[in-house]
Amino acid sequence: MLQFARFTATRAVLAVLTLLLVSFIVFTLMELVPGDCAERYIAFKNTQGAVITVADIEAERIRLGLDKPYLERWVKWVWGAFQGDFGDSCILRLNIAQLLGDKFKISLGLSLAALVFAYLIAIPVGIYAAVSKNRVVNNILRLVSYLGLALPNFLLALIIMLFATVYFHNSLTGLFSKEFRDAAWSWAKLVDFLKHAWLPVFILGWSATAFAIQTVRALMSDEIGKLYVTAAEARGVSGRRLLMRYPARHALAPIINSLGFDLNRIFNELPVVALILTLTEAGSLLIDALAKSNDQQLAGAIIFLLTGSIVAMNFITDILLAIMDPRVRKSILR
Amino acid sequence: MTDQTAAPGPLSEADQKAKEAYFTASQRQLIWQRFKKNKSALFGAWVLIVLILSGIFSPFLTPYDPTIAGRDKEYMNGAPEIPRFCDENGCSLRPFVYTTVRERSIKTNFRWVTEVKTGLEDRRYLQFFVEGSPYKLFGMTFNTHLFGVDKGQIHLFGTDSTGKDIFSRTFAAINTSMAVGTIGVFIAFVLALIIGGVSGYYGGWIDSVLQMLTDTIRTVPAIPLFMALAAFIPDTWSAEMRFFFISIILGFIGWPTLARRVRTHLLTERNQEYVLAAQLCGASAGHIIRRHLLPSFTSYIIVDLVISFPYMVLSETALSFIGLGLKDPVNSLGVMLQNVTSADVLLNYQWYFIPVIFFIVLVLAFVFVGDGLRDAADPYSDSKK
Amino acid sequence: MTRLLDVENLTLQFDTDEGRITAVDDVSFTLEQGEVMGLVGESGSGKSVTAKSLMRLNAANAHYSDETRVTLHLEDGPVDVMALKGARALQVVRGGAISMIFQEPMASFAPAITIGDQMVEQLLIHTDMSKARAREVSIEMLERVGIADAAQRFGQYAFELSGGMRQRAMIAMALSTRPKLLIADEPTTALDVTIQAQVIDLMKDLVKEFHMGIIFITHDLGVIAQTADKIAVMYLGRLIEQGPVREVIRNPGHPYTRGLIAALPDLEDLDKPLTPVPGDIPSPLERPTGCVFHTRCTEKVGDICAREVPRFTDVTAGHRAACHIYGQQGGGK
Repeated sequence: MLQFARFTATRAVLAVLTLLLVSFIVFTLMELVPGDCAERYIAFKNTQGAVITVADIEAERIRLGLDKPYLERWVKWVWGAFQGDFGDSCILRLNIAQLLGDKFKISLGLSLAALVFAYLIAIPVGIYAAVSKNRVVNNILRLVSYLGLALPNFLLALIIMLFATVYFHNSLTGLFSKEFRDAAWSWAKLVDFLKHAWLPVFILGWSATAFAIQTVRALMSDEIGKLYVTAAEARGVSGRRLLMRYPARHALAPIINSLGFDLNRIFNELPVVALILTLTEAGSLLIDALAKSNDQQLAGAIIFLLTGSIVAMNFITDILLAIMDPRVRKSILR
Repeated sequence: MTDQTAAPGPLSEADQKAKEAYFTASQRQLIWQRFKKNKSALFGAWVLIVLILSGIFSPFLTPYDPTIAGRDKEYMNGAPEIPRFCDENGCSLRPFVYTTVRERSIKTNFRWVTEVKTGLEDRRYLQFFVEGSPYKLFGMTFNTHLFGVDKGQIHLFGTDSTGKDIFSRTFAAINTSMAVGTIGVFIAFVLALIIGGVSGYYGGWIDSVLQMLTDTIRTVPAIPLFMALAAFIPDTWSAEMRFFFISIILGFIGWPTLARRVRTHLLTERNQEYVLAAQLCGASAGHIIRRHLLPSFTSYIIVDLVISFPYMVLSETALSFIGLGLKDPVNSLGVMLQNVTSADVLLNYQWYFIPVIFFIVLVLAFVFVGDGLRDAADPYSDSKK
Repeated sequence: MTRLLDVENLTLQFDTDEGRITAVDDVSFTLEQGEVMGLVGESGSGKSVTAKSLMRLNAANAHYSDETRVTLHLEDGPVDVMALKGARALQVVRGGAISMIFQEPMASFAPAITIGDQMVEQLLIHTDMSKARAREVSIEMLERVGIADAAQRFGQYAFELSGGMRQRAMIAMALSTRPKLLIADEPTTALDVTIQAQVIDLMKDLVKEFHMGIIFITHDLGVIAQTADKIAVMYLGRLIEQGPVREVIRNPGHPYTRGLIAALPDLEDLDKPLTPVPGDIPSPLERPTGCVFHTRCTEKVGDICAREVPRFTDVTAGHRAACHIYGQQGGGK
């Protein structure tokens, strides 16, 4: 058990290191944007009619700690980031953590739901595709998964909206009905949310599903060809038992391994889908932050949080794999 | 009990030649041989060639300038006009469309209303090789377009809200997407080659550090990162500057996956005897990478490049769509789709979506060709069932 | 002796992209209870495919000819293997009355399932033992094949065992259901020479103890000479010679068998150059007409070799070869 704790600790340290590297990249990007917080704030005050001098800007810089060396500010930012505090947005003049609040959780929830949705479909379909000798079925599946690649989520969303608008006169946008938008969470709000959430989940999961089907199919075909499957068949194991206990069981590890990557893919679609469906979550905040107001603090926080989720996902799958795969488990527990 | 059906007789000379060619064929020839057998990939390749050529020759193939200069003031948000041969006024061998007139008067409550005139004298006849707006192709200026109408304009795919011809824009957009993709893939390729090459050739701690870096960059979701990078572009930049910057960013984000592939190729190749032989002869590391290792897997790298191409195109489209990528007057699918999410467009101007079909076909063609090439390069990658 | 297995006119073709490929062509042989038959041939000669046919274990694109008859004689009557339909019926020949040991013990155990679980699974399928009883039997079996700490090994995975141990466990698993016929597909090829000997000794003991028939597939004539009672030589999907093992090895009747034996190093005279069988095994897509071996044969008797498929002729009593050198003397079957 001690070894297992050590393994977990090593993985955790690696995950934190990755996050540190990411935070450095993100922080550097934020810093590279022309104009700092002080200038912006003063510029803002300027529009309010106040008279601004260079000395004012300097004073503001010192107040915000912008005169400190680069590394020191990075350390400060990272320290805050790991505690969930990203400071204030220069433009909105609001605390970023508060601004993001539930919105990031909703985004993460939608993305995870899309991931679950993708594999709920991909695992049975992928296994069937690998086992089936039916050419027609295989070709149809192939075409669907190609379409999943070629028809990016936002096009799919547009097409669904087009049909919904033309035939149902409802564009299916938003996450909440009007009456619930600012209400506190309640049972009715949750039901309303779920009614709206299926579409973003479906659209987010669309290309992830296509990819996942390909992955599951390839892994299964691989495993089915292996000798231990023939050997099991030679011992009289057959049918579903053979399929589930042998190739499917052994293809599971690489599938779990790819989950972090799939989450990454889903996050990629988040901003665009959010824009189309006019969802009020982190993806659209990101667009607002970058496209409309150039709010680097907010953007940095969101990218950091998204990457953090992926790193966390990778960490969890690593541990899961270690528990599941006897080769890894035994090498740790020796 | 021992009868046996006759098997083929001794090999003819031609067969023998073919066999010999098979065994002495280079990697590239083998890939091509296998690729030719894959019907869907071959079909995809033809579609791709047709699309690329029509993108390159788009100024000639399309009747109007795709930018604001080519707008039709008389026909904004106009529906597609399909040439016809017959109507109630009789038939004509030469296909024609009708004249449309925009009008605002007391009759229409002072709103702009487009009226289609179907009279015999309002027919616009389709003509080939008409003189039109000048354009540049291969450094020369032309003004002949493949088709047009004798008076007014023709809009096969309709027009957008400013009266730009969607047909012309679509083909121009194919060209743009291909250009962005090509530059992006090229930059990604060069970076991947350098980083993956160093990593794979030297191995050891250099490899570990570079892999850690590559993996970290792969962890960051590309589109949000891309958005952050694209936000650097000052508004004062020209459309062309933007275009190049976006392509460069695409390349910067696309390299890690490619670099990994290069590294894997190199790691397997560098332990081969011929590399040791070259080292013993005193060849430098750079020389070995360039002259011995790279040629050994160029075919595979080309396959990887083709596979990564559609992702570049799709990323560009997504970004332009958000408004962080390309901007007018540069045409791309993303630019064209920027304003279609409004209910107004969804309800009334569905022809805005026509270009989407072309892009799905373009990306699908790429995916088919890429898959075909991958299967051809590595016949065991996907077990035949 | 009582008859255990009759194989008559076994012909098997595979559908591939390049057309139908004949893997096994008109193979017939018999096996008595407690008899060990060595099936010898180069790789690609169809010996594994022949063995797998007895369990109908070949891929879905395999086609057996209508003349193919495989009959297994069990206590409660003969079983027509080709007529078995459905996974349930096939269990008789898959792990029930027939068991198989594969070449690579590492690859034939599922990597993420313990050895014990796989053994118990097989017992539960083929017997009506309780789980606890199956566990006891499995551990006994592991002990019987000479695995120390059997109870502990029972809960381990294949990768935790050494190569020889894995093959012992594989044998234990194969024998746990007390099959009448054991097919061993090159069971010792992947092992070290010293371990090979141990495993072969073990198998010899077990044959006596369990009184079962064994089909021992190998390309190693030395192993066959030690273990088998009789031998069958295959080339390109055809059986070309069969007979008692010593008789065939001392006095090979077919030019190919002679070639195989000549290709062995002579321990008495190590300076003697090796004499390989000339040429390469032809591609299955280009099966030679007539005698399948005529493209490499050094003892051709004329056009007839390329024209007619030779019939089996008695070389001595019980030792038969399919070659035209005997046909000229007007031999029978």
